[in-house]
Amino acid sequence: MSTKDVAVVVGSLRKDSFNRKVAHALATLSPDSLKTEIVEIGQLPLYNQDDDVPGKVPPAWQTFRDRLKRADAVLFVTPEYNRSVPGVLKNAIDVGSRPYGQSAWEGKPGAVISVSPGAIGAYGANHHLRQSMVFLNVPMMHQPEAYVGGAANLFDDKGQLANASTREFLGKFMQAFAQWVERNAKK
Amino acid sequence: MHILTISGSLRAGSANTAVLEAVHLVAPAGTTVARYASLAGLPPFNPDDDGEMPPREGVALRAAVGQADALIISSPEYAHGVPGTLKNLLDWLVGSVAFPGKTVALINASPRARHAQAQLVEILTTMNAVLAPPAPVDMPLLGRHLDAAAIAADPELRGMLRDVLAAIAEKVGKS
Repeated sequence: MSTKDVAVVVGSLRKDSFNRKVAHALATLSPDSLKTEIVEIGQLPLYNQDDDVPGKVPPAWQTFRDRLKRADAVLFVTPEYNRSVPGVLKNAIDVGSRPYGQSAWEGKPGAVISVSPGAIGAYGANHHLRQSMVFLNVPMMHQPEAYVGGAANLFDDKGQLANASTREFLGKFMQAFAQWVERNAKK
Repeated sequence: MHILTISGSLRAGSANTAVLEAVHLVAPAGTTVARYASLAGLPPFNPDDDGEMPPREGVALRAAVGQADALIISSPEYAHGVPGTLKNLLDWLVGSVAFPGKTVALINASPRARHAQAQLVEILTTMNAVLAPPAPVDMPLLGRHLDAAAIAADPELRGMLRDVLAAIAEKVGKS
């Protein structure tokens, strides 16, 4: 197995985001065959097709698209805002999907971990995101599903993922994802 | 009655924006219509920035929503979902005391698009909006490249927009 480059996209811009803490924890919970790296989205201008023409494309869009295209796989870690995907994350998805016919997401194996302080673990965001990934031809890992609820109680005072059962679960999730990536990555 | 319209597309030639400009043209006497034109300038929503000193763009959005009796939203669908630009705007309204209970109408300018409208209904009802009309209104605009004046002049389209305004007026109890 060659090492696979996984672009991790975090749906919250909050400095002390639970999602970002989970994303950081994945680096140590993943098998050696996956190398995860957080790809930032907070600097992306809102998508406007009128700006998506040669000479006008905002540099931040181009940098983001180029980074995604280098990745072997994508992993979303997202909270839920109003029963759906945060606008900033959907904007990043939109930016990566264009211009028409040149989507940076095309064919990359993916997965989603949704994280929230609530009980249902951002279920609504998880599934609206999956719906977009169908359109974008990103084969999303079906199982295990990851709805991480009660997020306020999972971390120690240094922001490390301290909850043993969550660590174990996410470790198994990343093992499964490594197999999913191996099976579905572009050759 | 005062209405604020919000387009989910930043494209200058957007059919969604054109249909909302047409709402302005067909509104009956006594109804004022303002278009929210600052979508592109809204910063990415970050709860850290939404404390005691939220950015002025967020404050202005909430004020515009607060002054309106109802909103009309017309949005395209991007990748089987709501455009991130529009969802970002809705995320800024979470901290708004003016939003819960607000009457909102949804216009669908592309009858082929289903997922974004279904998501918007779920999102808006989660945010305690009141939908009037009760479901998104499909307008046969796809591929016709009509501008606002042409939409307002078309008897069928004009009638549909007047019906939307009448449904809103009935819900908010004003005309």
